[in-house]
Amino acid sequence: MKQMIEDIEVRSREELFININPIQAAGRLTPEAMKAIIAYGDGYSTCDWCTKPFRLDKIRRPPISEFHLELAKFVGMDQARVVPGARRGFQAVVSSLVEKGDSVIVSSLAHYTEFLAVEDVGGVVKEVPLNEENVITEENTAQKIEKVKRETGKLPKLIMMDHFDYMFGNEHDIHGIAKVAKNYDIPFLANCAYSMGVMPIDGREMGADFLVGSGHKSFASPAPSGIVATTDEWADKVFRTTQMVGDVTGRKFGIKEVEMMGCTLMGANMIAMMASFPGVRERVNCWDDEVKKINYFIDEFLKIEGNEVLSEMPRKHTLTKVDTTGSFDKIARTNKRRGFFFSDELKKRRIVGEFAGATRQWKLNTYGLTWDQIKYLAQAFQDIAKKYGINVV
Amino acid sequence: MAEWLRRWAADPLYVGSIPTPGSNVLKRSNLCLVITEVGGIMTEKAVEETFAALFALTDLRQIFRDTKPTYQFNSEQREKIKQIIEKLRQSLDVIEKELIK
Repeated sequence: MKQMIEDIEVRSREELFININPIQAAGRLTPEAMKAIIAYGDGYSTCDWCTKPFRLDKIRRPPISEFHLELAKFVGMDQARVVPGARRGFQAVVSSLVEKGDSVIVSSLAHYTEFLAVEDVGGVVKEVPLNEENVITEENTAQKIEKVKRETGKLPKLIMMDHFDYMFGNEHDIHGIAKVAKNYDIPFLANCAYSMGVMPIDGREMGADFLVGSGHKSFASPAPSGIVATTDEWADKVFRTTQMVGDVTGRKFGIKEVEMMGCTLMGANMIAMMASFPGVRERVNCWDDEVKKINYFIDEFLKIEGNEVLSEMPRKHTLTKVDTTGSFDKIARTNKRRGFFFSDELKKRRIVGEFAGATRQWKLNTYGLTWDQIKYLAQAFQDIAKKYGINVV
Repeated sequence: MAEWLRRWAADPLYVGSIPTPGSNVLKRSNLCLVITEVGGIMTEKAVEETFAALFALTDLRQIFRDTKPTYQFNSEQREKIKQIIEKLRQSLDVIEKELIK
């Protein structure tokens, strides 16, 4: 059976191939989440037992309310909400804190949705430059704040910084940046889209006022899903409830939170996140092993002459940017399939997820692969190199 | 009570409003009986076993994911596959018995 229904194929690549796609690895569902989708796929399935006060995060059957409390504890914050993707978390915080013309400090590797969230409210992003290792430091952040202050006469309204970025998977000095934010009394949002759900995260210890995570990137959850968490100090502002009253009907919807648009993540996505949660809680404790696996793979990968790693070394994250200009790209230049020869060879070995046709700079992610799969993967790259006469030392 | 009646009218599977896990356990057999008496087409058991079979297949799917692309199963995985297949057979037997009498 290749087609689920006409024109929609069965997606079986996770069962048939090793998938090294950089953004898909940690969003692969747990079996519990897959079961949740089977049972809760119908539209408003979470609303069977929605009673007063009629809000998603208050529902007790299934225990969505308890899940929210546990989630906040899990990330070391006071309150948490689930949202349709990390981007909606950025949007909720930015929309609550930033006004037209305000500056927001972001990383030079910030995700585009951070830009959009700022643009949406008429704010202006101010990027902190990277250091020579492609890392955002405390010092560069402080310098940027001073620059913004000099140029605009005002302090930025918010600092949004990635814990690990999407481009290199590098770790940024989140603790140092939080310290700078405190010194300037600027609220600080830590973008943990690539860390929350794969490694232990403690927002309080980090010094963050807001944490944003991604369900579909790092929490073994379907898209869209995400998390926004904050402290009691900020909760009333970001999770404020509506004050609006209808001028004709006099209707008001007091319990609904404005930034959450009332209820947030309904149906299968909500329950799948909950179903994955026990597994996610366990797996963050295995992060060290994940880091060992990527470093093992990279050691083997670098045995192929001409291969380079553009991310910081040794690896602290499974998402890694590599450069094969000096190896596989040389073959691509004369091969009739050009860069696709590399994809063909990987596919023959049941490996997918590389950027098809790319043989220069590209990204991979080994999160969740077993040791057997990691070794198989490393061997496959070396086999391809040998086949095309590239030296493997 | 009004809330309970409103929900019962909207959803005949509604058996209570107290969201305590297991609070409807005692009522489930009655519920099954009601459905059988009223509809007589399909019992709750067949539906339960359909889900159980789908969930067992999901566990099998996970084994594929854990062992791809060589599918070299260790003894624990072999044992689990046997259990899954056995569970599937049991569920299908129940479904067959309930639906094609």
